[in-house]
Amino acid sequence: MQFDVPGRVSGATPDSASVKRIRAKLMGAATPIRPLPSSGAMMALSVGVFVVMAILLTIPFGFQGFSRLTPGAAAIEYSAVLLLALALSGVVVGQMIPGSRRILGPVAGVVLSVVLLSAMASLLFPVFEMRNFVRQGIPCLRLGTLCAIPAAGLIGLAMKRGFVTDTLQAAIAGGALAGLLGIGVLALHCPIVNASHIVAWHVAVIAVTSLLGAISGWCLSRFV
Amino acid sequence: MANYQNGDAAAAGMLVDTLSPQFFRFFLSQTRNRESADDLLQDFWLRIHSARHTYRNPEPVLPWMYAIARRVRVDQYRKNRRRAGHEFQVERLPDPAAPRAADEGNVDFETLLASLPESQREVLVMLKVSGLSVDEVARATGSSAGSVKQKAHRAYEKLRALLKGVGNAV
Repeated sequence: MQFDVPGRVSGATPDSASVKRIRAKLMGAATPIRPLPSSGAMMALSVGVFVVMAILLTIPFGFQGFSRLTPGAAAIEYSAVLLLALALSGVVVGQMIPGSRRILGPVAGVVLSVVLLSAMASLLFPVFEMRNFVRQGIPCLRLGTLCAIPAAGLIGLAMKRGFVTDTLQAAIAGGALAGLLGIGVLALHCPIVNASHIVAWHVAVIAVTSLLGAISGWCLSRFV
Repeated sequence: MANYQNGDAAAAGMLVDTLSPQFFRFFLSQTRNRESADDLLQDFWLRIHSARHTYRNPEPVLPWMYAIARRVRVDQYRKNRRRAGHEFQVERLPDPAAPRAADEGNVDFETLLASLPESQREVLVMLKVSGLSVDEVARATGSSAGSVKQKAHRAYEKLRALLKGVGNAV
């Protein structure tokens, strides 16, 4: 028995006329272009825009949340949000560059964000008061999700500069980063320092926006 | 690739000449149809041209190209599926020829590949036909090296079982 490796697939060559046509087309269209900046530069830019947008979007609602926190709690909470913004920016940038090394996948990024933010809220604000739980929570979820919309639009525009190879994964990554911006706005605005409130209504923003991202990514990849 | 990005037409021509056979074989292994593979190759080069700004110079070029090739193939597959959904069969088509699995003891690589699931076939072609490393395949497919190794392992197991069956039959 022989194993016929150089068979029809491994020995096949393309139609030479077709290759000539492609060659002529590409040679005729070869113009200088500017490559995308390095991943590090794009991530730094993304985090910068994230901070500016979070502050700008909080201005109309006020910084009551920031003034309620002790300096230590504020430093820990905002550092965690910034670190996650950096990590999710890396995920988004990875989705824009074909064949880039991916350390963290979009779904893993969402899970990491939910776990880290929930653990941080439970440790920093160990109050599990359930009074007015839903009445106070719905406006936070709504505000966070609404703030994620302009961020998602901006991320979508940025992604168009790259070449997305997996629309679904890219949309989840974009939704997660946009949702984190919503959480950032809530961290600056919401004065409720209650772990159950933060875990259920603030952290839920990232789950909701990632899910919305997944749905829109699925629709885009199926019907567009 | 860097020269191509700088607008060097000769570099573009050299890239097409050097890499077209490799990507044609990749598309042929997925579609098993020469015409479709030629069409995909054309589409692939057009996409490479429009996405050339996303390549960063010290990075390996093949994973970047294979990631785009995969996208081209997936888009084509979806387009075909959508088209198939709108079409209906008006008359009975002739039965396809029986697969050429065992031909006097020779085992056709293409037929064996066709029996693998698409994700395993893709990984195997990248590793064994195109000669990419596990890390490069992981980059091209957007997965981890562990996942690539697992898919390759499963593909080998399946091929081994198939070859064993063919050997027993002969």
